Amino acid sequence: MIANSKNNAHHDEEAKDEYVLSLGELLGVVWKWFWIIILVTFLLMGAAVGLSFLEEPEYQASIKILVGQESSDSDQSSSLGGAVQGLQDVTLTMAEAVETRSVAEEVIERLDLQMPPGDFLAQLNSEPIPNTQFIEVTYTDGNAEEAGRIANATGEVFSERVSDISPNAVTATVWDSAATPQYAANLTPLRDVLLAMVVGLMLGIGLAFVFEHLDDSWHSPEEAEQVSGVPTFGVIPAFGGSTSKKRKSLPAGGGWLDDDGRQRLMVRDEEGRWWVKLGEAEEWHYRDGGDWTQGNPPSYQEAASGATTSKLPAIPLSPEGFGNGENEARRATKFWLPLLGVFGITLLGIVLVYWVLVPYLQGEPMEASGQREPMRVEQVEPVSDEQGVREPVSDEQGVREPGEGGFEAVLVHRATPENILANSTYIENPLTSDNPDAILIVTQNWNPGGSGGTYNDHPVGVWYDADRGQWAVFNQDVEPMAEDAAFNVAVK
Amino acid sequence: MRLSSSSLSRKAQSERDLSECLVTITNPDGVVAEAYRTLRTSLLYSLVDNPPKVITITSPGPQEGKSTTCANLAVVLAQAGKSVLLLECDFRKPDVHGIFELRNLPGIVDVLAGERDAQEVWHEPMQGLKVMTVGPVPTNPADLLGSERFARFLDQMRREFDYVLIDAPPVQTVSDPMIIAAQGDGVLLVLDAQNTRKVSVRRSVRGLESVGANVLGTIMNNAKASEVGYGGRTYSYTQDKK
Repeated sequence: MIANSKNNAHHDEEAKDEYVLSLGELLGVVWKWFWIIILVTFLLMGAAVGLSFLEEPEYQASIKILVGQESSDSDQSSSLGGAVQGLQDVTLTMAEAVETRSVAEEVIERLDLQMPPGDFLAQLNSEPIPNTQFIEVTYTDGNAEEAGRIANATGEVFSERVSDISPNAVTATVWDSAATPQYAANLTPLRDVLLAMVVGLMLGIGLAFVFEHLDDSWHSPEEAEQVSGVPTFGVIPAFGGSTSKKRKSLPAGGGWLDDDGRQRLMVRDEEGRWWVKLGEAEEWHYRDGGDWTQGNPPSYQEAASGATTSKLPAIPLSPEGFGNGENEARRATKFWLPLLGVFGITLLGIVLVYWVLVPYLQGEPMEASGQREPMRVEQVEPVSDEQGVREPVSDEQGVREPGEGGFEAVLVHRATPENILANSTYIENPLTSDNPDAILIVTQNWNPGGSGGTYNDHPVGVWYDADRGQWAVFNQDVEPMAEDAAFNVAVK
Repeated sequence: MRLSSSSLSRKAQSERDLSECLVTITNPDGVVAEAYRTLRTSLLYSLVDNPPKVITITSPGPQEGKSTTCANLAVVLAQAGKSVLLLECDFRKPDVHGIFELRNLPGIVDVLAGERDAQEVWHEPMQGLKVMTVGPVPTNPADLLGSERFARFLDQMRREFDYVLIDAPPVQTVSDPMIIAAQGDGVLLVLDAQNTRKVSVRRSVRGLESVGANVLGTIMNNAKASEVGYGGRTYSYTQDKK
């Protein structure tokens, strides 16, 4: 082996840097640090169980609201498909409208709840059920009965408000009222533990490789050759106190000792006999002619009996006869370092799991309510063929300051030959007509109803025509208003 | 005379720890002794063309098994019928005389000072093995080791013995081993498989080679069974024997 290594020394040096782990070595690493992986996994699982006990239960009560239209207009029934499609679009808007401050305030007032509307909204969630006219409204509370009561009240308030405001006879009916929830929604111990197990396994395996990388110990003579660049001449197994069975007594008589050394190990009694401890049992022997005879030194017995132990001189054998204090200390630090690391990483893991992963998986909104992106206004399609239909929409729409209060209406205005005058298109709407104090926020709508819009490539603004008593959208560059251009108009 | 048990035990303990190192004598049939014999074989037969005679044994750091390795290697070489001189040149922390349970005085320093002959100073703990202890520790070991007198002394010993093993201080603490190694034929670097850091081995080899020393190889000391590698069979064999 040595000769080989010597010959291959140059070759080895070249290959030294291209050290690739094989699959077997990878598995070996995992096996070697198996206890770390298991420890981390169990710690995380334990933490998951513990935290789920600590967490307060939260109950979710949900109601279903059906969005419909009163069939007072007989001509609407002729095209049921179109009406349903339109209502589904309206449902999206309605879902947003549930989670508004005005609804919240009214529910709070009605039930005499002692909470700010913001907190109420944080616990309220409403979602349209896709491709239906249903909205599911969910309220979360620590008290199961309270959750049901508030969810039902929200449905009632919302239903009333919609019928108050809607001129187009759009209705919102509570279809399913809430029952008192039986189980807490947030306690899912099984899932949490499974999650912790997966994360723990991943963390543990990661740690195993980190430790393997940091591990500075030697695994094979070949490794020593790689590191030092010179052949390994020999490998001496660990010996000394750690493997006590290998320890044997010195040969009786100490033939390999010179007289000086022998005498330093021996003691002499008054009779001039030399005493020495021999044998595995380390019993005292005295020199009797040419032989060693077992016995007890004359005065030694007294010294020993003075002590409580009957055994001979309590020589504290260090567990590492061959080792020494310095090595012990180094080993101790080596042992504590990974342990500290494990605790640190476990803490990190717990933080990660409970403040990031679990909320994420539970789909809790990370942002505060009311900061949703403006949405769905483009999809509002006129239900009738008239140029403008207003729908009650949530107060957030297109507004950067959600706290500023709600809009009266959001509608889609279309420019038709009838309402275009030069570069302006007049909005005919009871909310804006003859209302110079109205605040209008207008954005261009490239594709009203989801497709096929007209591109009015001009900066637009609004002005109030006192003569006509109407608000108008106009092109600021005085170009004529494009026919069929559409605008989202929010009225305040 | 009444024996003082406390002073006796303390003294006996330190003696015991050191004497346990001579595993080639205390347990010649064991694995460890076998490992030292393997080391001897490597040394005897791997470098046939230009066999090193003056071999410095050192290690990167302290307490990595230099003196123990040195002593046991000397013993197994002597057992193979070679005439061996073991020089205790660790002036900072001499251990060899403790291992062989020899009196330190007089020693090499007395010889270098010209006060005594080498023949007067060395001990012969066993057939074929002579051990020279440090003697009175000088204040400037590096100067002494770098002196003309030490070089001449080494030459003289080289002629007289088959092998001269020098137990040198650790490489990373003092410059003595560099000075010694540069004058010898080869260096064996002892490393503790549990405690020696890889980077210090690299540094030591580089340092030794930079002063022109011929680093023959390393000796991996204190290896666990899994690290022995090819020695595994021997291991189980002797365990059965017990």
